[in-house]
Amino acid sequence: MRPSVQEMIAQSKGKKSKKIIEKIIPILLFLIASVSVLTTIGIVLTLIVETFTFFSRVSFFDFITGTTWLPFSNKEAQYGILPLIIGTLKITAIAVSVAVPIGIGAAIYLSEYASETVRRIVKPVLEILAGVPTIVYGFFALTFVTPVLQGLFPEIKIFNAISPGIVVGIMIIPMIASLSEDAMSSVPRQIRDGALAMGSTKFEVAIKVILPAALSGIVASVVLAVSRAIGETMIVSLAAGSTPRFDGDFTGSIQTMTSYIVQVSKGDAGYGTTIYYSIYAVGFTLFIFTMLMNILATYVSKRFKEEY
Amino acid sequence: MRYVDHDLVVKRMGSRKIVNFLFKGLFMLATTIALLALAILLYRIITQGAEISRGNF
Amino acid sequence: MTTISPIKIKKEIQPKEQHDIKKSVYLTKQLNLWYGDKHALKNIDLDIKEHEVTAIIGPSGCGKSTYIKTLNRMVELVPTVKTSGEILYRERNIFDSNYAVEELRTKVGMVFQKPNPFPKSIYDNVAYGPRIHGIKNKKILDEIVEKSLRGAAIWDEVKDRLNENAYSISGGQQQRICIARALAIEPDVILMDEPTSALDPISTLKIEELVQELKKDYSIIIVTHNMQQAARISDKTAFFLNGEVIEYDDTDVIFSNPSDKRTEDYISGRFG
Ligand SMILES: Nc1ncnc2c1ncn2[C@@H]1O[C@H](COP(=O)(O)OP(=O)(O)O)[C@@H](O)[C@H]1O
Ligand SMILES: [Mg+2]
Repeated sequence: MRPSVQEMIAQSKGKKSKKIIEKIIPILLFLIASVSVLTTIGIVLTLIVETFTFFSRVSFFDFITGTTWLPFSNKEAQYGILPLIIGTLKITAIAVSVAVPIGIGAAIYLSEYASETVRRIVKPVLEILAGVPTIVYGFFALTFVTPVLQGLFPEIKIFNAISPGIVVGIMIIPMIASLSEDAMSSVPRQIRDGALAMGSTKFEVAIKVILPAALSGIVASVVLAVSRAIGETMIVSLAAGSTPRFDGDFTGSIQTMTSYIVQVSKGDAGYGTTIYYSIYAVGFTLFIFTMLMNILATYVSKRFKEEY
Repeated sequence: MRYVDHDLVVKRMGSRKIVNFLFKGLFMLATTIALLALAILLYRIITQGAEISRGNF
Repeated sequence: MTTISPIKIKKEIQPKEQHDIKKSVYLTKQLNLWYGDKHALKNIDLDIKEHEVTAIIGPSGCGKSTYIKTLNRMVELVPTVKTSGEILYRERNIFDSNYAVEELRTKVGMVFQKPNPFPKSIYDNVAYGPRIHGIKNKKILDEIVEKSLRGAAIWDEVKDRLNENAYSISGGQQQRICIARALAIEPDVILMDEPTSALDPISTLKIEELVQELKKDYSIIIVTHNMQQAARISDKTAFFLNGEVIEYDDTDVIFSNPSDKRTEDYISGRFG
């Protein structure tokens, strides 16, 4: 005769092997999780320790307020990070002014105007842009966008801020478009219907109802994209040049925080030199920037979360 | 008393529809630009890749 | 076949009913509608009078929602929809190519099955319609909001929390906010698609009372699959079955003395 359910439960409880597995698995999973947490802690600690060493040689105040970045000088090296920050901001500003209108515009078109078929095709196609390796974007900036720009504006140099800025912008378009589209199309259809049934045009529905309702997701997508632009390395290393400068010029060679780090890594600054430690200080500054952006994204998406 | 003047609503209809139409065009343009950027990029990858493989980069 | 228009029968029986002098708000003539290949509405003829509550009843899937959504052309949001025939709203064919849907929808408000306020404050919900139609003056907007909320019998409940999100109140209150939102553009007709089916009995009763109140100023077309509700609140009732109008008459006639066997079966609960 078949044993009763209660009997089967009692039996399975008694099984030794199962008990052991149930104890081992969580420990295993915990160990695996610890590895990633420990790695992160390790990275941050290294960053902090080496940064401290840097600041034992260079004044912190000079570092954050100095307007001259001259680490390779034979006479007296100067470590004022502002030119690098300015360089990063130039790239980010151009990237954002390219990617935000195009990304959000495309998101609105896809979620509010396009037919289901168009949306189903265009969205994944756009996401291909996010999968292109950044080195390819770098060459694209250097060998295509820069020459085109030079054809239009001859005063633009071979290394400049505009071309890599635009290309970083192109790179982050799918991030903004895709995440914003997700945010907008997750606003329930009934809400859209309610607005349309009041005599709104599609544009009014998009701008006055859907956009505010999806604001948290849209802003979060922009902030994430900005943090991606700030940290972008390959494109700027290839196409922006390596001239740290504290001015408002976009047409000539500049240097960003990331491209400085690459420059030093490529060269032969010996271990223990101030230049060697400076990349940690710059890296740490970069880390602060992107971390602030990520915190901002989390805050924004919580703070402006609409309930519906 | 009535607040909404339906005749006025009808009069404003035309300009609201034009705004809608213009912005639809702009949003479509944004999508097209993004797709165009992708197309150019892919085109460059393919043509340059072919050049490199022929050894005359 | 019982395709003889019940309206004609009625006129023969009771030729001098007072509602005959009431003006038509919606005159539907030989309306057919397809979702792709699915023939969802078949040769609909209906004459809906102003300042009445017209109930549309029938079993699930018979085309009630489709019909009411055709009246403000919301049904056209489904890409596969095709229609033939005419719907005259105040003597003008709503399918005319030069009739802007946005214009039609400012005259014809709609309340949906599930309350669907915008994720905005109560005030902004009600002020939405007037704002898109060009009213910017804060004082006038305040007056419209108050008038509309009073009209929807919810002013007293929300007057101290106009700036709170509309989703912070109960479902029944949300539904009355949606009614207020529709009233704010001072429509001529209000369409309601099972407005109480997601609500508790007390909220349902409030909305039913409200409908009685509203019919003084508006023409109301309400879909319901609750027959008691149709009997309680409507003046006219149309019985739909498989996309056809089986019978359309005074509500008390439909419920006490229907002329079609299928109507009788339905209202006595034999199917549906
Ligand atoms: N978007 C749609 N696409 C295809 N068929 C639909 C769609 N909406 C409704 N239908 C069909 O049309 C018929 C009528 O639907 P509906 O008007 O929603 O019925 P009711 O509101 O009376 O329950 C049903 O058979 C339904 O399956
Ligand atoms: Mg329905």
